[in-house]
Amino acid sequence: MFQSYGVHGPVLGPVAGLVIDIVLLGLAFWMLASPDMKKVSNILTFVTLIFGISLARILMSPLPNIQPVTVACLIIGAQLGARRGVAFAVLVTMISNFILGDGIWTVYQVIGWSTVAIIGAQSKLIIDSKLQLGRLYVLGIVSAFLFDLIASLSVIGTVNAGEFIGYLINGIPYDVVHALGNVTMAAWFGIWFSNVITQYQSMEEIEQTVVDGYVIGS
Amino acid sequence: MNKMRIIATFFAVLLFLLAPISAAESNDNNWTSDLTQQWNIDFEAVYVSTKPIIVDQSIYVRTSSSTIDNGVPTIYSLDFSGNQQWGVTNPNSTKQDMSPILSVSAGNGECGNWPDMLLIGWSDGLFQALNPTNGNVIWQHSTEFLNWGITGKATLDGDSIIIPTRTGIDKLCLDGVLEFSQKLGLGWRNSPTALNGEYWIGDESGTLWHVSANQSVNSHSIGEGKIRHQPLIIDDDNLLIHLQLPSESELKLLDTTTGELTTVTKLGPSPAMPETMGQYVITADASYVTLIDCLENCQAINQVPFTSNGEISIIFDEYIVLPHNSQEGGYGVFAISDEGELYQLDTLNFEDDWYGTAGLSGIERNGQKQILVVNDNANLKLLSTDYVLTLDSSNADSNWTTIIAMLLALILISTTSIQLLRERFQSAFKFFILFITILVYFSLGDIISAWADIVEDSDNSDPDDVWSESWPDKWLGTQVVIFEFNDGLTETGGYVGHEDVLELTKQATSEQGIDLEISDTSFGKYVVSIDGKSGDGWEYYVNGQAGTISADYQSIDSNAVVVWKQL
Repeated sequence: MFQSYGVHGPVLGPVAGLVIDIVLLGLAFWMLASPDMKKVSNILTFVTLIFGISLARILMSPLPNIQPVTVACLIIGAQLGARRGVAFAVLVTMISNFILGDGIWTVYQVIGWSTVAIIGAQSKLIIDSKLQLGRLYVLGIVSAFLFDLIASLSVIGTVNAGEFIGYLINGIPYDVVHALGNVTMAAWFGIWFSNVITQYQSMEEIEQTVVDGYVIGS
Repeated sequence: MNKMRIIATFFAVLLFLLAPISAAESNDNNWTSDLTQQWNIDFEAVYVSTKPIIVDQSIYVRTSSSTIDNGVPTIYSLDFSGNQQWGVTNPNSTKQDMSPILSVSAGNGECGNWPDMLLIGWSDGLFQALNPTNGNVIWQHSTEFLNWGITGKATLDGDSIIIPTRTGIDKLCLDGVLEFSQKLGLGWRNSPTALNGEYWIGDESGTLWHVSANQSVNSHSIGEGKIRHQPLIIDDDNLLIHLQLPSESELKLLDTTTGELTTVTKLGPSPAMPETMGQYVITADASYVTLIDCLENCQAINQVPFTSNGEISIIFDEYIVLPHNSQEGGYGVFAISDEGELYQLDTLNFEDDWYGTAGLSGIERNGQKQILVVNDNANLKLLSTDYVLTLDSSNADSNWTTIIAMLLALILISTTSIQLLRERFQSAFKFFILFITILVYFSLGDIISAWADIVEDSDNSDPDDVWSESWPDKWLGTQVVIFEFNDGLTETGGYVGHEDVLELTKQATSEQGIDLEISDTSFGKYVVSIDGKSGDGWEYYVNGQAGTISADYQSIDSNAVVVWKQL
């Protein structure tokens, strides 16, 4: 199954791939469409974060299921809000998959990491401008299994139910590695990454974050 | 930020310090160029078919000749300068003398006393005990002559010597008195094994004879082939036999208690005499050198292509040397890595290389490693080296990877402990979780394979279910690979010792001249195309069961059938 469907599912044709890319880009820009993003410094910061994490994902791709994007989505969701967290998830997935390989799995990865970003926005990871590390560890573990489950859904339609269950069970060691990697990255880079984002965050943006979180949450 | 910089600098410095050590080590291997030839003695138009032996300060070597015109078969004693000390000839022994020389130290037992001796079996059936100092005959014993006399190695058993005669065994006290003579089957280069006071010896019709302490005889049919070596004792009461068949060979394990006979694996034609090295057995044939792990049940681990049909020598306790029995001659030097894998370390070649079946002898003398080399051209060489032999670069690299990983783990766990003592729990956790992640990373392959073994129903996986009657019988019990292209089929088999699907596939494609394109993913190796054909992907099956993990993580048995299907 791993061999026949690649890592996450069948490869798309060029037209289908283009349609998906346009839809995802549209989603990303819609999510980014807010007044405060007109500030050049904010845009630059956001672009830097996207490219930085995309690069990290590409560089870490030889390591088995170490996914820096998951923890980044949690923190960005918490710091910048669900909308920008989703936009971040969409753009990072698209850019990194441009190098790592594009296919139907891109959609599922986008859904997975967007879900993680929304969870980050809803989970009170930042209290009194301080990242709650313990909570981040727990969410890092939960998000690893959740993301892998969502990404695995990409093979549905090409395998029967029994094979899908087998696929999930065989993937548990990879899920554990993903979870471990998340906790490690959270422990080593969580606070630093959160501080980098905070330095560029204005009060307006913080208010927007709260509003975004409320809107998505309701 | 400051902390981050300190940590990053620490790891950068660590890598910087460790990298050159590894690089320097990888070039530190040079077996052949460091050997210096001390002398070369040409015994002229005779053969040497068995290895020279070293006893104290003397070298003993035997020559062989099929006609007196070419030279008289002789036992030579030489010193380490290459000077002849004495020579004992036997002009009647004009068949191939290939029974190895045995050295016995002076001693006494229930059946008598004996001095230091060299024990020599001749092809005319004569068995002599010679004085190692001057070559004088201490005692001698005539055995049966039927075109040939003694061709195999005699076996010491306490105060007795068991001689493989042409059609049986003679047991003599080491003082030369015959204890009994037993007729069995016609033998050739066979040798008895002493096990708990009983004797086991094979013959030319594939029968393994069992002579008990009271001289009663029974036999076990090992197969329709020839047994031309000493059965190896495995786990105290099992015997391993390499049975020679017309176009292949089989490795068989006999439980001497129950009489149960099992086939360990099928191997190539014209087998060499297998040797034991700790838990391993090394076999060779016209196609491969094979490593067998007999720690639990004997099973083939891996093979290296090589042609050798004679004596396998283990020198300096870690190097396996085999004569390359071809016109090109030379010797293959092999070793077993820490991971338990056989690999070829080097090749020894000389100007006068020729066919050869005689093994090598190695000794450490005067701070030097010295090697005695001889081939069918009857050129005996003493080679020496000061060099401290090391494993080859790939394995050295592998060792250094392990050392670096261990060092890193040690640093991380030490730092964790220090931070815990300083009550800096958050920092301790950071180092601890990094340690765990690295630990899991290095053992992930094993974890995934073990997990797959647990969750998959291995009972449903039987190679017999997918066995095709059109496949040759020699593939039975071996690993078989089938490539199902959209426009054709390629079948290949007879492989042994491959541990995972990808390793077997690489070997099969390499031998069949098929291109194999593999890419790395974070989930393992992904086979992109086979023979340049990618289609909609490739799927593999092991014994009819679809693979669910990367081919490099999917372990296989010694008799697996792997099918690759193009989608």
